[in-house]
Amino acid sequence: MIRTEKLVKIYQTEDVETTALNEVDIQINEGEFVAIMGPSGCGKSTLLNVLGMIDSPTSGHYYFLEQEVGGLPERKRSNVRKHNLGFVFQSFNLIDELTVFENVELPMLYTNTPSAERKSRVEELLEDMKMMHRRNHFPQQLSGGQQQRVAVARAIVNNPKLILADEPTGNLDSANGDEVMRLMAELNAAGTTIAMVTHSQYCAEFANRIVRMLDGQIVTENVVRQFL
Amino acid sequence: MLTNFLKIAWRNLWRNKNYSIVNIIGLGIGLASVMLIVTYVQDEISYDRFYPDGDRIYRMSLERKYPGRSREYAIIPQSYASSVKADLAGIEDACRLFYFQGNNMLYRVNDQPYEEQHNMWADSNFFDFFGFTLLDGDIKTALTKPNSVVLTASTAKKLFGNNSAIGQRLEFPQPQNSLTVTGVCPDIPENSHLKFNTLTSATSLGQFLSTPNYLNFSAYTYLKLVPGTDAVDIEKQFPGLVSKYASGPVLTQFGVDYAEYQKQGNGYRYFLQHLPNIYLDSNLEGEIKPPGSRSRIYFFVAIAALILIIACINFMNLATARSAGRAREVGIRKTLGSDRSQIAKQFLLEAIIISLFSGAIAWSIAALVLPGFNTLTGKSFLLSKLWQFEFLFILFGLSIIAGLLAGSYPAFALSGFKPVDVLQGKIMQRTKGAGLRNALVVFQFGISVFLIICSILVYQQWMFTQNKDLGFSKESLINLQGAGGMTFQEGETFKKEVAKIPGVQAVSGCNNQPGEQYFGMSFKPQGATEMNTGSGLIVDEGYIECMQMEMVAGRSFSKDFMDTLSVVINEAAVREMQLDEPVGKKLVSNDGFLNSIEGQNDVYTVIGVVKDFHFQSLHHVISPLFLVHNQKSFNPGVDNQVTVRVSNQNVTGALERMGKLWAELQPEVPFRYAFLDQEWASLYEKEITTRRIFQIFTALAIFIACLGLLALAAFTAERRIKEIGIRKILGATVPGIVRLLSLDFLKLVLISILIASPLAWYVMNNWLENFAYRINIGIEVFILSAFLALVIAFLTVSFQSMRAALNNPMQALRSD
Repeated sequence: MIRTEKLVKIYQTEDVETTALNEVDIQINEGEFVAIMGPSGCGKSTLLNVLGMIDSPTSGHYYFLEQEVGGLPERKRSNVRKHNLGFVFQSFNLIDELTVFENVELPMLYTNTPSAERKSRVEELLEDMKMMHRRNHFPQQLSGGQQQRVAVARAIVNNPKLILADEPTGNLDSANGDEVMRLMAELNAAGTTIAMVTHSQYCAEFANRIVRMLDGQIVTENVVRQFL
Repeated sequence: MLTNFLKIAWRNLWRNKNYSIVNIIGLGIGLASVMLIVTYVQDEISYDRFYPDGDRIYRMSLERKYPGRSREYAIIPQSYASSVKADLAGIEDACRLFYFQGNNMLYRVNDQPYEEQHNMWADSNFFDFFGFTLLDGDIKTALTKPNSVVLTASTAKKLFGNNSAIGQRLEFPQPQNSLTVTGVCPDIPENSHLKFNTLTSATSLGQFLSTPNYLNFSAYTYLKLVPGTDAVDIEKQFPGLVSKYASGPVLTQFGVDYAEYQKQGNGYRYFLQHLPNIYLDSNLEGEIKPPGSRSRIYFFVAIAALILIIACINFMNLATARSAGRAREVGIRKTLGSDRSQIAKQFLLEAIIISLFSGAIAWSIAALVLPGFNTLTGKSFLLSKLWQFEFLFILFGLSIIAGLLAGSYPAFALSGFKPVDVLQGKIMQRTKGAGLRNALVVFQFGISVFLIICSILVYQQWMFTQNKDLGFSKESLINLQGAGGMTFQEGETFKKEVAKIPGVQAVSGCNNQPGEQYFGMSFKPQGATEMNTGSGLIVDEGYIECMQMEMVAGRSFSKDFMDTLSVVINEAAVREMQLDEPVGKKLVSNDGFLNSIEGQNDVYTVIGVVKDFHFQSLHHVISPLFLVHNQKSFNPGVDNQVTVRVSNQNVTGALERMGKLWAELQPEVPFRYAFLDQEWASLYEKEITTRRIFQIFTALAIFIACLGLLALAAFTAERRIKEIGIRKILGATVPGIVRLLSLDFLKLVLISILIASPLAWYVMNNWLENFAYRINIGIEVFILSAFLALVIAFLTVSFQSMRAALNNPMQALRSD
């Protein structure tokens, strides 16, 4: 599904040049659950952003579903993004002014899904996430765990082919963290490909494969479980 | 998607109530101001647009040239109407109107005395020419016969109630002047430069009208051009017409050949004024109604635009200031697949929603202040005006435009955020937008400072015109109008009796008071060739003393002398005639009424020179003036006035006694009086209105600007809350922090002062050029304006700074 060749990302400030990704080659196959680990500043979030097409590489190639997307203009990238990708963030990134229902519904507005379909899909997901009773609440009225469940629901509402998760449990206690990880595992089991950045070995254990990064490069790749 | 946008917009407004209120109220006040000004301007430009053939009707007016100067008149010699029609191709019809300003009609209906203002005389084709209808009477014949009168509907109702007015008579003291009502026409709309309550047939003017006259101005002459005729082509033929018809009379009256007369600098230049433009563009001598002014319209439109810009800037500024808060939402939306145009649309929509709210608020404000606005402008707009489709449409349109204008920058800037930057929190630290924000604050305060300077100067000029020594004392002077009906002897008796009333200090008689239209008079030193035309005034021997005018040479009129052939002139006349020793000089005039035998010149002697006094508003330079004594017998038509100087005690009592004396002498004439200082002030009515409107809208502009600054300061304080906390922990004092936060803004205000001051100087210097007597712009105006702007800005900003500085520093840091 995903393949990169010599992916480079350089951040340039006035006097300092930081190489966040240094010729990264990575491949993620359909149905895989890949955890990306490494110390702070190793480039794992940058990699995730580039894979998620919310950031563009400085050089190198990025193939998504066999199509080169590294150099696509913003409008086209956004189009690929809304139909194929789902995002889960450490800080949930729900829109404060929208209710739970509306937050989950939002991606479907961008794909022009008819209203009735949106309603049934959102309700189905909220049922699954056990958040139906909170559908009219605003994010500030929810606990962290609940917010992340809503964020997960939002990420999968359009049935994306790939979910990109950036430290999804980073802001959660262990019980809520566990629950979110179980959700991710279930999604993966149902066929969704997942790429997840994490600091936690425990969370990484949920993945099929762990990719370790250091100074913008991939240093090791371990298979945790045989991918089915 | 739209619902989603609307929801977000509404919830955002609600969550940031203070911000929303500042925006909505600020823009609301701005829009209300603009709408009221638009309504005013609309009314002003609607004048004379309702005539069916208005686009091809022109008024023929006159520039009368004198050596070294000229004056423009709305009235022209009455014989030109028929000559133009007969001689020039392209003239479909001509119509004359006569209006003798200040001459009220005194008549009786069913033995009840009435006094009527605004009386006109017109040619019989008047209704057909202007496309007016008659409610009653025959439109073809109503004004054909002498002594026929058409009344307006409200005059007819006043005189005859619901009875038919046709055939009724208005009885005059001289039976031969009595009028028969032949028609009733609808009231003339307010937005017309014409105004009359009675319209008498021009044929009633008798011999005056049947004698050919190409020199003396009396008729408002309107020409209707054949469709497709160019007014310029008609104008080109006027000089030929003048040579043909006026050269003979010039030779007879002035004793010179017309070509020679022109060589001396004299002459008549006739020109056409398009009917729909007369009200706004024409300010000639003898206008029927006080005219409007196109420059004033531009002036108001400019103020309206400035206010709207200030309000929009608030909006833009606050939105960009708050953009950091909205950045995360933009990032999330973009990550979820929204593209830039969708984000831009969302923010524009939000801006438009706010501006539509503001539109609604603006409507309410306009409705609320409409009565006050009417008082201010002298208009009489009804609340229903605000419900008119046109008004609502303009308000709606302006709201949308304001929304687009104000929302465009935030929409553009916010939609450009890169999701990765936002989600990583990079936007929060960025100072991008601060430059623009600062520029906008400078612009906004620049406008405020500009307006402050302008209004101070407008006020100073106003005070200058009010306090300028006019050359006479206008205070405590009562003018009794309508004494023309008394015989000379009755007048003398009346004045003598009035002088006995306690509190009366002086009594005198004249034909016109300063501020009124003086008639023309011309004299030349005996033996000179060139006639000097000036204004004329007929006075009695007590006038100069009663008015507290100053004689600079010779004497005033006196009962001890035979003064029928004496003339007192002003200093301007001395200069014009280049008289070295004016007193004792002999003058002659060609004016018929100054000579006892036609064709022979009486010789007048200059007995004194009166110090120049302002008999016109200060827009005009003092021109030559000739004062002659009222013992000289004048033709009827000179409406005498009695001027009484009173002490300030018991003015009412004195007036009562005067009223009684008046009633004994001429019971049929109502006792009418006016205070000269008030009459004089009314010369500046338009200026007063302009000044007030200017001041009020300046205050509003500053208020809106401050509202924006207040909110902006709040956001700045909020953004720097962590910095303030750290500084406090490190030992900063509250005044130190207030200084820190306020200084940035004050610097901006200072820059705006530096930019606005020279600009204001330039604009106001140009404006002051319009006045014959003007103030000089002093540096103190700029110092005062700068001080005011800085104080206002400091008070606004320091309120927020103080609040931020007084916060518990730990709270600030914990919340980070």
